[in-house]
Amino acid sequence: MDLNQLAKLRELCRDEAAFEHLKQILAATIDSPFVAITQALTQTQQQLERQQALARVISRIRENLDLATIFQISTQEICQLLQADRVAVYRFNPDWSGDFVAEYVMPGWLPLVSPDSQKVWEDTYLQETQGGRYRQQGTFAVANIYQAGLMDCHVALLEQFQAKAFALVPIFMGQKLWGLLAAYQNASFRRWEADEIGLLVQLGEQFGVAIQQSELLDRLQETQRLARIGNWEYDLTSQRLTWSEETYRLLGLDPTQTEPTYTEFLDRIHPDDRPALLTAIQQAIEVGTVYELDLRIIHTDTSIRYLAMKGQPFRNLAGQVTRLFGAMLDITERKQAEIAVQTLNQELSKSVVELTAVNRELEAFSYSVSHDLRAPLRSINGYSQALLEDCWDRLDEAGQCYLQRIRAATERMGELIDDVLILSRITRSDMTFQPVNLSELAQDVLIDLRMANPDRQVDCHIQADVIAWGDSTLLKVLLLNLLDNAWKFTAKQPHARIEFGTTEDDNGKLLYFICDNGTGFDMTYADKLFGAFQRLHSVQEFSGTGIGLATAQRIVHRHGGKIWGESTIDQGATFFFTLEA
Amino acid sequence: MQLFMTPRSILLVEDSPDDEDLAIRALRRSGVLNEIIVARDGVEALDYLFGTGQHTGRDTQIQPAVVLLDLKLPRVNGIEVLQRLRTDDRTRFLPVVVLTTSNEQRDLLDSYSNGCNSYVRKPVDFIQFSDAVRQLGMYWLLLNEIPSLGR
Repeated sequence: MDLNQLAKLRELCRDEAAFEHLKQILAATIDSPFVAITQALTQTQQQLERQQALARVISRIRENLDLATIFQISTQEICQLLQADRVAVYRFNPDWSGDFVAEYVMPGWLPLVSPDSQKVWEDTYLQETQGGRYRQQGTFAVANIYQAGLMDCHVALLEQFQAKAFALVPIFMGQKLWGLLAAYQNASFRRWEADEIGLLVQLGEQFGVAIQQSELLDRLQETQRLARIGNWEYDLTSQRLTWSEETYRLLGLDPTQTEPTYTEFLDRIHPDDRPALLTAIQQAIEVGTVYELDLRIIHTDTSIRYLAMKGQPFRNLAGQVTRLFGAMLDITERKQAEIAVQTLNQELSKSVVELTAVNRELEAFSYSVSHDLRAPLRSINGYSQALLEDCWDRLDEAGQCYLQRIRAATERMGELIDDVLILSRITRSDMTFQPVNLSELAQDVLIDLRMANPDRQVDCHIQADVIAWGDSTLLKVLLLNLLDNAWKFTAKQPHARIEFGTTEDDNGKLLYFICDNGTGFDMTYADKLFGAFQRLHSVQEFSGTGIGLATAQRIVHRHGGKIWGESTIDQGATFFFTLEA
Repeated sequence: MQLFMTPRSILLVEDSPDDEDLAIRALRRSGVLNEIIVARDGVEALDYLFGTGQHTGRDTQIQPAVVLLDLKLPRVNGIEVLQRLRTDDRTRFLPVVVLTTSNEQRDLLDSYSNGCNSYVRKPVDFIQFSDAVRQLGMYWLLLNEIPSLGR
């Protein structure tokens, strides 16, 4: 009951005693509930104001995604509302030390957060207990730091903050204690009311949510940046586009820019790709179809990037499409690789066509050689023989000898043609890969050689059951050439010896070999062994056309292998070959 | 079956005059005295065998004992001749020996798949060639028998 009301009552009462009596009655009957009601009203009023202020703060928190802004606005509001001297946000480090990341401090007090005081506070209690009571959602309010039984070091720390009283509430990010929200009273001691603590707790909870959202957004942006994926939304009613940061970058724009218009977005797209996109968007809006297409984006530096674009319509409850949302992915590297592969394939097909043509020509050529080149030789040979037979009595010995030489030359020419044709056939023939018993093939070849040269005594050693993977026809030609050489070059040996078998090189790779104790060759010319028509011996010394080893090499190459020879003159030669690369 | 065969002829299909000359020389030297008819390309060979063109009116009941057929011929080549002979009842069983320069796998396959009776490659060496011709003559003129058509 206020004094004005009492003064009015005094005027009404002429008797002093009556007034006193009235006062007592009033005090007993009216005054106490009245005061209580008035007090309650005042309290409620205050709580209402605080709740309103908190609601205001919370709605501002929700409008913002930027943590620094949220902290700045909220600490100021709450500090003013609580009439505290400082409200600060303290963040724990992984080792439970921490620092103030935001504060609002009344003028005249030492700031704890400033660009030049990035101080890490090491509170041993919090560090040892890993957040202490706050981990269990506890709060801590102290009216007088000197009478709360605090440890000296703690008091000293608070003195550094210039604080006389404080209230601390935890900030949780999900299940994890993230930091503390602190209110400090510096000018005087202060008893903290329960609803004031409640207010701080609620704000701390809101901070927790905001921090978690901010963290999620950071991770989303980070993920988008790493994956080169951007997302977007297009509100059809407001015509407003919303882009994620990466979407800006994908389109060659600065993420700090304001949101672009739909037209500005279309301008980024390669003119040739625009119609397809526009059709897709129109269909999405009208029919509600999901679309997916690849587009080219022209950056400001005129470079072209490829994006895979996906869009999906969103329908409201009435079934109308009200917005589109989607994602875009940078596929430039993939596209470039695809284009490179395409180019390569085109070049390859061209080469194949050319090669096929060349092969066909080669085949025609060799067919013609096979038929036409030998025919004149037969005439020369035949008529030389006719001369010898019909006119022998008119030819002297020299003349007869010349004709014999002509005949021999035509025969040799015939052999050369045949060998060249074999070589060319071996290059062109189709191959059928299968297990081939090389030992049996070698045996067959040697039997033929023995039959053709019954007078020769050659000691042959063939390792049993040497199986190779290859084309049996070609492998037979390979062994024929190598064994024929061995046979030929051991002709002058009284004890000729030929061996076929396998061994391993230093890397454990299987090597096939054919070894003889014949004439051998000079290693100086080892690189000339395999050239077509290359001979290391004269025809008088050893017969042959110089095609055999070229043929052998071509067969080995067609099996993905290598062939080489090792020799010392007059101490035999060994030819090694492999059959798979 | 005739008990007394009149000496039957040989049809030599050959476009090279040298080869023709040398082949005849080789046959004669081997003692083959039968008549040798020469056709210088595929058309001439078919005309002779079917009694057409310049051989219109020839009695096609009388056919050579063997045809020595070269493959590379002007106008109609040897394989085509062979195909025609094998699809005609009059010449289905007529012995055809391909006598040619090449030993390309392709030629061998084409010749055998079209029903040649033999494939002989002409060697460069005339002595070897003579020997081959002599053996051919012996075999196809003296040893070989064919069914008589429809009689």
